[in-house]
Amino acid sequence: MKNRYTLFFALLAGTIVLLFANVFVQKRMAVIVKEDKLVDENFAADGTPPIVAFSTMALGGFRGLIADILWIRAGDLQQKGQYYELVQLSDWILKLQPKFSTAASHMGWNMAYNVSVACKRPEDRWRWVRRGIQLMQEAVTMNPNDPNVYHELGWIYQHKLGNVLDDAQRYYKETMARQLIFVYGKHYPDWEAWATSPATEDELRERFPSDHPAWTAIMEYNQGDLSRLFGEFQMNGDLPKELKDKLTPDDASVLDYYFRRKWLKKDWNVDPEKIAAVNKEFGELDWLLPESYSIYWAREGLAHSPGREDLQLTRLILQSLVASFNYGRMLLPKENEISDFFLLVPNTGVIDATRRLYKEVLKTEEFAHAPFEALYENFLIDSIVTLYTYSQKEEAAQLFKELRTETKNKNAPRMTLDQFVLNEWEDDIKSGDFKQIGNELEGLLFTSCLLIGYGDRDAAADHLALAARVYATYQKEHSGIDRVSLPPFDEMKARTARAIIENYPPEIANRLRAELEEDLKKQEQAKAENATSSAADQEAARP
Amino acid sequence: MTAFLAIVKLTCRSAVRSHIFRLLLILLLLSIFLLPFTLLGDGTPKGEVQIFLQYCLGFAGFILCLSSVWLACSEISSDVETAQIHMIVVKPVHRAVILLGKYTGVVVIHLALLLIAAVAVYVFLSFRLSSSNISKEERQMLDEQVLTARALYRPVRPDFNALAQEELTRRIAAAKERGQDVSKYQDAQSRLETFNEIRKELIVTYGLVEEDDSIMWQFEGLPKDLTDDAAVFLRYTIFVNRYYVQDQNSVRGQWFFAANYVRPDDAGGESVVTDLMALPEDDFLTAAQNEMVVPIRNSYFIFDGKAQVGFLNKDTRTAELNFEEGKGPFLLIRKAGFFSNYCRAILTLAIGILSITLLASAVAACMSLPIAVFFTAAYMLLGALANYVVSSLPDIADFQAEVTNTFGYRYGDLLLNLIVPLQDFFVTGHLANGELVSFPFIGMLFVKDFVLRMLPVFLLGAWIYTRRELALVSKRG
Repeated sequence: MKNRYTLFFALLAGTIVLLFANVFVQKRMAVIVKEDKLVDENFAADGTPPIVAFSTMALGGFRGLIADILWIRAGDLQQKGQYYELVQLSDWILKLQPKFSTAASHMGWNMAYNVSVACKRPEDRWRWVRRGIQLMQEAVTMNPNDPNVYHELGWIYQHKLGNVLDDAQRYYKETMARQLIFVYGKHYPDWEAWATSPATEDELRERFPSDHPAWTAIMEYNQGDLSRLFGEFQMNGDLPKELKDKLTPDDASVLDYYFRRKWLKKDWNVDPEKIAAVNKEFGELDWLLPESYSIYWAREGLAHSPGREDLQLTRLILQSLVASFNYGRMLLPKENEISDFFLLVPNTGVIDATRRLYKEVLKTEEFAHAPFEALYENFLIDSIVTLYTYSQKEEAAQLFKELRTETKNKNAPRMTLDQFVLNEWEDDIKSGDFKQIGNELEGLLFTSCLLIGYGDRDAAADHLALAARVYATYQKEHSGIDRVSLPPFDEMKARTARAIIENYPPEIANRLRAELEEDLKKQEQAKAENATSSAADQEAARP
Repeated sequence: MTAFLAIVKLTCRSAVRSHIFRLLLILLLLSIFLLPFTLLGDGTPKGEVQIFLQYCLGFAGFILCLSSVWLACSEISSDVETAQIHMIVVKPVHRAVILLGKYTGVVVIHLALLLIAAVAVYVFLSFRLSSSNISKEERQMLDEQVLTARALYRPVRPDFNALAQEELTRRIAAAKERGQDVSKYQDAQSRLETFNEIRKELIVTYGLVEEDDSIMWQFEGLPKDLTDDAAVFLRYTIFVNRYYVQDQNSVRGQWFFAANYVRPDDAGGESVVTDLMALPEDDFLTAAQNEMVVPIRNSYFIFDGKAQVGFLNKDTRTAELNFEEGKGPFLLIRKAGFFSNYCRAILTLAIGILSITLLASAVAACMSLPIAVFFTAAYMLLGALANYVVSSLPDIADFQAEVTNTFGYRYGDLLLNLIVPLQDFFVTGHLANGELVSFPFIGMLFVKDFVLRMLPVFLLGAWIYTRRELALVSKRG
């Protein structure tokens, strides 16, 4: 009997001790879970989407089985080329298995890459890429702490849309820009102002209480039906004129920002506060371009997985920054109007952030090796040449100094900046054949003329100066060899300008014609004189 | 006859009172009127219409099948379990008539619902089409590829048996000529094995096209009176190499078509001249079904009901391209209008309801309600899974003798032969792809599934029902 009591009390004491210990462990675990974002806080805040909650509760363990059957069906249909069900099936699979992020990533990638290339028309391709992006955006909402989903989404932007591997890549960029500028209202919105505007209906009502004249105007317009007003806003890309006239400019802009940020969140799942933060961290990005969105999502992925940073995300930010540096600014023939004649030029504003990130990652174990150092050196060289040719000689000189001190570049210590930049071109000139040099020169002249057409005179002048130096160097290297001599520089320039005037939209052509009028006239005159003199020579030579 | 009609009437009335039937009815209404607004298509009008047809009609059909199973089981079993059956069997009505009457009642009410659902879906579709802004190009695509009924024409298949026999004879003759031992060909069994191997090899290599080589298919029995404005579609799937490779790659090639002209000849008569018209070289995605419009006038392409299509392999990256036997190319030519095809699809669904109700009635005639519902549902599920097993392992049993694969394939095949797969009656996929649901197909489905499989089961159930001890069941209840 005594033994039984002893055993009972021993077990009771043990249980109490374990329970007591559990309190400490539980507390510690709760802290870890919160710090490392191991639960979906966003989910908890917004509530689980109703359809996900319903499918989870109603179907229980059968969810997986149904998702499997839908998955097999999706695969079967894809092989038969019947893609029309794919969006619906993917959506159902995601809702049945919201936490199966690998499946979601596969489906998004499949639509953006595999299904899109099965279509011939660029508009069909774009539709599938967009569907893939939308699915991934939803997957991000369902898995806010999974870095892999952010990476996949960012990758579609950077690789599928930003890169040049797809035949329809220019169409993608143009369509994305067209859709985004409709939401933004203009090419470069004031993100800081957007960020301070009301984000929810409650915040808007706080700003416009019932007795506020703006709310009275909205009530008069449609009895305060904001959903209908939002629908109209999406249709026209602006507030209805009837309502706008009744609002003060400040109130109109508050309402305008509210609708635009709501629209941006709904269609692209991004927040202006975070866009403003990205701009602050990495420099002013052009938010019509996919690389900016890639950076946005990769940064979000890093922010949502502290302690579990995915190297892929850092790499994606770096790749996208380099891409932004190379082609991260969209020049348009007419301000705020997207045209298929857009021109992508370097965004030198991201150079500092890119350098900083390069330096940070070079300190880490995974990246501190020779090939990566060489990449950084190449980036510095490209930056110097680009800054030099885009009228930022001071910044180029600064970077040149850094190249001298921080890298093992052989040329930098023994050259001036001018020599160094020209040397970068001269390497090509010396090693290139007649055709290659001709192409490179034409490229420089073409960019120079285009930059004039798009209104960037300084950059155009720098490109022209560089082209002249390359031309002079080439002529010096190949003097006296008639078969490889280039036509006169002015003639090359005029020919390029004429080609642009004939083929580009009037906005660009007119600007270029106005700027180069004198040169073109001179060329025409010279051409006419040549023609007359050769005709006279022929006449004279006739027996 | 009066008794039979009275049972039918009573069954219909009782059905309307059933709570589960009402629930399924609400689901049916939701599938018609609410589902279309929740569906996500691919963003094109064509895709929207396809998914609308596929899902609305599919869901409606599925709910009606479920409802018919539930109602047939409950009407027949619960009468026995609640002893209500005694009120009828004491009257001069044969038990088979009771069963048939209940079956008819369930079928009548479901066919009426099917008709209502079909009309609602059709009207809804017409309304959506008339109220949406569709470009001329998209409308044409919709009319030619979805809102139509295109018959599928297969190329003339070589006589593989004759070719295999020819090859076998050639091999024997060659062996004899070289003075080799031909005794292995004299044994019937080994001769048959060699013949089968040769035949299989011929089938596998039939659609292979090596680099810079071409292949030509002959189509026969095509409509002779086809006008030039009718679009003829070519459907094809290209694979890489001879084995069943599912990887999707981009390959390069060129389609060409035989164009036939009648020209006066030197002798004063007329002769047919055949030219080849090639499309420009293009990239094609492998292991994915593609479709394109035949780009030449039908009067040149189809001559005397025959046509020829060819493909030139211009891909330098892969050794050989493969047009697997049975996977195209096919020609698709409009045979009827959409309304006619829609009615045929509804007819097929009706046969499905008739068959499933027949099975449920037969099972309910000899089992209790839960067991009857479970049995019928399990039967339907097995049929559906069997199709998946077989479709996911198309030819694998031929190429990879893995035990599990072979077992799965054979098991699925056996199930398909024993069980009526529910999806056989759901031809909404055909309808959504503008493919003709032909009357021979519907007739075959009726004979195979209704007459040959379900009717014997029903007759067996009716026989058991007539012999069943009903009082004992009631006592237990």
